[in-house]
Amino acid sequence: MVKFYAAEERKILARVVFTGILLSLLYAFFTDTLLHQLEQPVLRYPYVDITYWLMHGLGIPEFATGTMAWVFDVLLIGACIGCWLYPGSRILVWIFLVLYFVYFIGCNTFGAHHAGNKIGMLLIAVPFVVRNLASFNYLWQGLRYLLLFAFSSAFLWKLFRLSWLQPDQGILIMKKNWVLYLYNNTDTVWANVLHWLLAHPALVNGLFITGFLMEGFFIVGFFTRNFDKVLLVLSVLLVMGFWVTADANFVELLILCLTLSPFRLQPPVHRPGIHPS
Amino acid sequence: MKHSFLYNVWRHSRPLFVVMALFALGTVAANLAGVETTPFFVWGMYSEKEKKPEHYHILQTTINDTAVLDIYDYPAATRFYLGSPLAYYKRIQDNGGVDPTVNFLENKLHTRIEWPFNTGVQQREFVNWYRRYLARVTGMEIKKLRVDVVRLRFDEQQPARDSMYLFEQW
Repeated sequence: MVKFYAAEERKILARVVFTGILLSLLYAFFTDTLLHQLEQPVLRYPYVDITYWLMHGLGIPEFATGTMAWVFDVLLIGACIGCWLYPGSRILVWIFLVLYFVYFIGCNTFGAHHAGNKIGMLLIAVPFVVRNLASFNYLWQGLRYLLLFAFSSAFLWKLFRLSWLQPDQGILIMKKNWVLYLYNNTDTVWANVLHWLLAHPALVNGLFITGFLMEGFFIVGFFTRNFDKVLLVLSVLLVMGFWVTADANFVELLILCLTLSPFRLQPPVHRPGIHPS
Repeated sequence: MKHSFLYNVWRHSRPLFVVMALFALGTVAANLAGVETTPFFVWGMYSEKEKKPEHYHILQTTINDTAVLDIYDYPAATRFYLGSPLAYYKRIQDNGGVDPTVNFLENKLHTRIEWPFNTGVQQREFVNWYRRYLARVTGMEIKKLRVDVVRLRFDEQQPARDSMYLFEQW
């Protein structure tokens, strides 16, 4: 059954979403990674992404991290708080989206890596820009499909590249990504956990294959919503797995899991103008 | 078909259908081509076959001749900026001062495109930026910086140093 949210539920959902984004921005503040804290970075990484080329062509990332970067960050956090305070204001959501997009590009280009962890934060606000409740619900459901696609296509990439057949794929990913930590930290609790895992390559390689199959299970979500709670749990387990095996932080991506969540104030009903699929 | 999600969107609103269908097509096309064009994201991380390396190479930063930086003393978000730009700077220097993306595109398109990549200006300014960011994060006054490349091998489960050489010092 499609979850169609009423106007009041949409407002509460907006508060939940913007609380998550605000927490993410506060985390950035306390870790010296808001744009004004990047100390006017110079090395950039547009790679072959035309959107980054366009943004650099317009000088936007450079401007947003320049001498007025603190103004940008104040506006970004202010817009986020505004969206929380006034969950029905579409103009505030538009402003937030534009600012967060610039922040997203700035973080990735000056971090010299196009990281995927903030994609969820970037896209989760999109449904709130429309006035029509049915349109909101369809966009929200669209984000659910995007989440399904993210994990399913990760499965397909591994499937077609045959990396799941590669001997020691899991253990090699783990060694590559944790080598620096282990070199500097030989006897911490976490180092000992890693040593134990590295001493059991069959287990780590098995975890990689398990994660690969878990990603594949998301394909089921395209055909039925009956397993959404399972997919929600799998999302969390996969993100934990990315961290353990690859030191990759995808926690912020989990905000898209709200589209799998059984969030509801009222029992599901058919509403005029909304056609359940 | 009549129960499909996109069909219902089509029945509800043609403009919304067009936006969502274009986004879906763009995302599928980006994944088929393997070329990410924001906001059409590609989710192929960790899908390449890993090859067992003879050695692992890491960068080790020493501040003012005394303090060896362990980026794991800092949260993941900070680590990203302490590690990734420096590693990319090294890739550029290892490539003779040419941004590797320039070569990548040259091989694909048979023409040399240098903008918007890192040319001499960005490379010369990099150390000043690295110094500023390190000072902010560590709270130290940075007078001298030394970056070494450490070559490691795994002895059982623990990496051990094979050799080390100076990359750059400022």
